[in-house]
Amino acid sequence: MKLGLFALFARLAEPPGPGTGAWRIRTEAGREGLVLMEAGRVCWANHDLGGSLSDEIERRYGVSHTTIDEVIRSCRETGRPFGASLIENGHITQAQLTSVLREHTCRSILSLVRSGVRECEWVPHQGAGYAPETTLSLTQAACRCVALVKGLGAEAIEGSLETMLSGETAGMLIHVDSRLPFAASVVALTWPQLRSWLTWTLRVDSLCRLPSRGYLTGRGQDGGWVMWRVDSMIGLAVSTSEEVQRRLLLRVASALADWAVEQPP
Amino acid sequence: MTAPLDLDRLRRATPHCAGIAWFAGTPLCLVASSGTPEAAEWPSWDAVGKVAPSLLRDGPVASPEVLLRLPAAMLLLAERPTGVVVIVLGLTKAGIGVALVQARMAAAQVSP
Repeated sequence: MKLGLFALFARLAEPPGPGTGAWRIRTEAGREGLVLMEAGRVCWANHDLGGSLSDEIERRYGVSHTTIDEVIRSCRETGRPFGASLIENGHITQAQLTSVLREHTCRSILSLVRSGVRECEWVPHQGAGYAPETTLSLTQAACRCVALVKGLGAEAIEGSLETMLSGETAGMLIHVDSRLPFAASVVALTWPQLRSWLTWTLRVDSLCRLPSRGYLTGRGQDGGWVMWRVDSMIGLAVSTSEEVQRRLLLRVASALADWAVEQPP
Repeated sequence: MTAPLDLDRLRRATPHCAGIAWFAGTPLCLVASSGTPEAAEWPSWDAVGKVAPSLLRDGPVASPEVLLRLPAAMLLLAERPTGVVVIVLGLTKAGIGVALVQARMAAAQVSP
């Protein structure tokens, strides 16, 4: 049976501990791909039918293939990491490297899914050393894939979410009409949390629609939550302490009137 | 304490209060009410009663108190040992902080 995008991520979400290794993925027609993980985070994905990272770097930042080939050759001789060498030589910035690596990873996963994923086999290894800023949580990767499929700027949507979360709260953005998550927080959100929060938010919205630029908030002994809506996009943030909940609510209440997020057409 | 059937009096005594409702039982049913939810998206007490258990009990964090902020009004849903009280207040220039205090004071007086 072929795995769809969410079924694939549900499988990827369960690497044996400590979650460092590679998912070797076989697709229909005998093609192969890889999803590399470190401590449960997605570091890199590749698919032999997917676009190459070099092409993407050239397209985005105008670094020629000749230059990239020279960097690759140098890296092979010195053992230096490719990305770090691109930065050291001034071809791209760290932020550009992070952006292009993350998008390449998500596009490769989408390419694997489109090719029909048949098998996922976990191959543990000891390799480590990916720069944390270039890796993605599994839920971030899943949501970025959804945004890419919908033709939206995944980074910008994640940025909109983080203006509310400020890097201290877990949360997500949900497009109500498609019933899909479009962004997950920088603060780690597990796959089961993403699924259960998505289901709950859609249930609440189906029972009583939250008006645009309105918000709902609940508080309990262990923190609380805030749900807000702008047009078809609902944000949900969950805090784990009273102090964080207080700051979260202040941010949402003060920023909601002017908060902008890209919406699907 | 104000008995549920005295909700009209409590509503009149609470500044800018548009509605008060008391729900009880399983599933949650409207026992008594005064006024309305006063929000197009939350059209009736029945609709509030249907969503209340999800908001109070099923969310990422169980929350005995839930606040809904609408452009011109706020709803406070508060879980009590024997049911759920809902207070609806129109917002004024005094802001949501003052409205929330008033709603909590009113909610504290609703219990059978």
